[in-house]
Amino acid sequence: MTTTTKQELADQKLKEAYFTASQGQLIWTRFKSNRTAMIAAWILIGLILAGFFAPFLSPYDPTIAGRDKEYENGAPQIPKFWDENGFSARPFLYTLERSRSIKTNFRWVTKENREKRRYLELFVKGWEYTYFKVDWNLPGTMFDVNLPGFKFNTHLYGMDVGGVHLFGTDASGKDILARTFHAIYTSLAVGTLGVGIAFILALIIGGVAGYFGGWMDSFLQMITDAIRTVPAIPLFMAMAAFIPDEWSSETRFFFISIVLGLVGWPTLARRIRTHLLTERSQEYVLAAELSGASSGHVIRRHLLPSFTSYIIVDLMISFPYMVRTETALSFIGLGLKDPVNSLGALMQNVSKADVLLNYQWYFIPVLFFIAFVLAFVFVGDGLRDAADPYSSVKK
Amino acid sequence: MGKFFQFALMRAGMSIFTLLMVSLIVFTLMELVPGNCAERYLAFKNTQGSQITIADIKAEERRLGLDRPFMVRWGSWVGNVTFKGEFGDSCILRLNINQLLADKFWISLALCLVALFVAYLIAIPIGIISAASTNAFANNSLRFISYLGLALPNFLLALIIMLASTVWFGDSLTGLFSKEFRDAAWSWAKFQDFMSRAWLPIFILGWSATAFALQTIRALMLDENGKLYVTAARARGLYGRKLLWRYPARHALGPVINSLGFDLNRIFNELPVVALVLTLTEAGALLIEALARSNDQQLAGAIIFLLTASIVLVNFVTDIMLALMDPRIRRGLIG
Amino acid sequence: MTLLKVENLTLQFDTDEGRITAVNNVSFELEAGQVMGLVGESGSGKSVTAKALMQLNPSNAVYSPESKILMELDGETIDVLALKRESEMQAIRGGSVSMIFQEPMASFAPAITIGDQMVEQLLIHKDMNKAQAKKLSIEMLDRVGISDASQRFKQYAFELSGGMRQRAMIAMALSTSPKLLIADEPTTALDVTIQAQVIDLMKDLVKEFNMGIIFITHDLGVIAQTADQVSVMYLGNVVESGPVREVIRDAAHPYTQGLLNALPRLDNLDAPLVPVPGDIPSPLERPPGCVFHTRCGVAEERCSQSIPQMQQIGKQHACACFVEAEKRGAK
Repeated sequence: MTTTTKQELADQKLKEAYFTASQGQLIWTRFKSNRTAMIAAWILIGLILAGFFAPFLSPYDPTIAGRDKEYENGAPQIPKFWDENGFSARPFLYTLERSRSIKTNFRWVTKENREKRRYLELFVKGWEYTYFKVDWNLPGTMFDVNLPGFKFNTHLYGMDVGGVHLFGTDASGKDILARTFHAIYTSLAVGTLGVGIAFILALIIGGVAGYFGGWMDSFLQMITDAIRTVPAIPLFMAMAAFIPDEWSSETRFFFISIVLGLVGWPTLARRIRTHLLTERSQEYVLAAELSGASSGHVIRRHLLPSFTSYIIVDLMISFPYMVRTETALSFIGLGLKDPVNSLGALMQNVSKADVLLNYQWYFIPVLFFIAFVLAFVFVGDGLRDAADPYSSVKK
Repeated sequence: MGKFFQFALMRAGMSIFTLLMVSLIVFTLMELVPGNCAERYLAFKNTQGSQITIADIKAEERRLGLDRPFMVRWGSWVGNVTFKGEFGDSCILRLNINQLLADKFWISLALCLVALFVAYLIAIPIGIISAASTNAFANNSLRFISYLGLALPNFLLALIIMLASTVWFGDSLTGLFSKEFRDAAWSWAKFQDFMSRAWLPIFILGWSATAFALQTIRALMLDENGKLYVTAARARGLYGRKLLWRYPARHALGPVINSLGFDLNRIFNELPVVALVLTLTEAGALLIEALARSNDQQLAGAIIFLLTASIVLVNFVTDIMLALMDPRIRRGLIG
Repeated sequence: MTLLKVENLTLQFDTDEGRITAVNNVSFELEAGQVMGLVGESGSGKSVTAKALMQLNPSNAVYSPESKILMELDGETIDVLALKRESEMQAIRGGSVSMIFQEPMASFAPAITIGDQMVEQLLIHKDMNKAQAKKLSIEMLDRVGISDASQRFKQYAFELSGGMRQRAMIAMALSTSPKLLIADEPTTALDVTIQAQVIDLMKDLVKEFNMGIIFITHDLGVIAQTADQVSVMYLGNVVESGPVREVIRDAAHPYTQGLLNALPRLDNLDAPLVPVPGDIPSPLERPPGCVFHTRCGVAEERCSQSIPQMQQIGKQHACACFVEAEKRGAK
């Protein structure tokens, strides 16, 4: 052998890094090389940010409080930089003038006055919103939590005079952009809560079944399978129907998330059980047990870390189904209701034929929904392929 | 043969256990709805002008057997369903559930089964061929379509088709029957009318099931194609269709049959919402009616139970089919 | 009579990571009635070479234009790589050439009986009806020492033991009386005792059918017992070839020497085993010059710069090594 050069040393390091990489790092490396999944991941990150910063990004309150009385069923307004009257460094819109007279049969008619420009401004002060505010008013006083949170009133953009609606407005003049972004936030929150609850249940039930095996496993499997056989959405509907009308929208929101979690755990539990059963019979577990480790220690220190990355992938895959289900429920009116903005509730707007003819911008939330779910599915699939490159079979 | 019988019996036993579990879940849900049938009924009468006392409610509860303990009531519900096929009366509509459901349930089941059948009819050949093909463009577009099938919920698709057809053809394509046949007795003409409208719900119900089945079958086929026995068969001179159908396709069939139950479940999931969008008048719509509008727990419970029972039945049948198909199990059972 | 002639076989795979060279400029010949051993570690390209003989490699395999695989069958010379359609390859696959795989369990279709798979092959290649094919199959099963052959004929692979499965595989491979048998690690998955039985069986059959056999293994011990000629492969290259006794008694290439030193010796059980140092490099990063220089004890400057060619060092013995060829005075 000749002397080792720096290059060779670096190569050696790289190789070592590869062979000693953790499961998570390997998955991440493989995931990065999947272009479709990476694009989907960027879109997803964008949507998540849009959802999280929804109040900052939307100049108007998404609820009825923020409606624009002057601009109902209004088309999207795209600010311009120039027109026949010249160029402006600051994007502008025209002033809308509403009038009615004998000429228009006394109906309100909107006309844009091209002489009067209104200008777009950044970081404007507007409606007040809070982050990290907790005001849970769940049934039973002991669950009530109150935290004031942090108040803000700055928004990314706004107009010097009047309103700007990039995605247009709905029949009551609510800003569709604000509603869409807030709805994404709601979907994320419902999905996270639902997946979280499902995961905890799955971890307990699948964990017990997989770790102890034997009759315990058979018994729990039978129950899991029985629940899996019931069609989930009809079951969701049955449970969602219990919600008394007098519950507040927050309570409703929590209840729906809990229901999603309660019905969604069996598939996850099955996966966890299978992971555990496979790992359980590995020799390193036997070695740990022979050295006198308790079951709790074996589960926490050896078994769980052995498949954490797979579980994360599973959670990622089950997320869009939660969102889909919530949307379907809200769409038929059994899920979230005003003033909580949900993609399902937004889609109720498009169920009329004249929307397709006259108010096409009502479909913008639908596009966001499709992009959101599709991005999640692609990322989940990419993660699964990265986690398990040899098997592409589902279920 | 005796062993096979034993196996079938054991599977049947497990199915019955599953059904019992499901009935318990469903029954518990029915019970959890605030207020019971007696209160509901009498509250209704109240609106008609009669005065209701606590004693009246108690009497009505006794009459309906609601004063018995939970387990007893569950037992009698299960007994009535199993031995008499009776689901009792609907709380709100005061009608016998069997009469209410009758046709509607069978129409729903037929729609779903046809959708399932069509989904597999499309997915099996396309899945098999696409797994064998090396055409990157065709494969990618297929992948995209099936992803869209996963991401685009059926109700949205239904909505879009409905809106488009309303705008461009002036017919919303909704409902299962034309006006003149809605209440008519079954006849050839009614059947024709039904078929001319049923294709849309079938297509929409089958849409995402097709996407799922396509992905499953493609993945299974890719898995099988990579196995050594396929190379070995090629080394013996087999090729083309003969190789494809006799080797990888034949061996991927087991898991495909296994997934039938899951896909039926998936289709049932879509049923109520699609029913609502397309204003169908079958069990799915009735379920929404029962839940959203009137909190009719008896009716809802019956529908969920019937849907689940169909899945359990399908699972039982596919289990037996699998056992007959897989030589490993078959040898152990029949010899 | 030369049965098989492989010339300059170079095979690459198109993958996401780029083109991977799996087999590089491999040439060898095989006479009828002879056994030729291909030896090498996993990843040395021996299985890929064997599969190339029947074009069984996946569709991303690219053969270089100089590659030639010529078979002398019934007085006709067939250029295997010139066959483009699967229907043309059928005559070779399973007819004149048969292949036995490493894992007999995995090479039988799990849900088709062994008999059905045998009959199917015979119907493709022989002019027989089903009854004749069944009769011949049972005879063949009997011939390879499977007891109760007519019963086994109706069974599935999972119902047979490991040794029995490999015998059935051999029976199936030989039922069409091929001219060439390719055995890809046929004994690796078997117990040692059964290994010996299978090797004996194959030796008998070669004599009886006068076939040529390509015997692929990583086990030099097995080669010593079975083969007449041997080619040692490393990272897709043949590094040494020659008559089996000469190669084993007087190994020339440092790699072959390393392989032999790594074998346990029954005559001196205390002698330490000497492994070949290092790992076989990934085919993605083939070393420049001699492919073995990264692990070679006698490597010199030139070994990492230019590629050594095969040079004659004995009557039929050749080796691709600068150092050894010089030492032995290449002819």
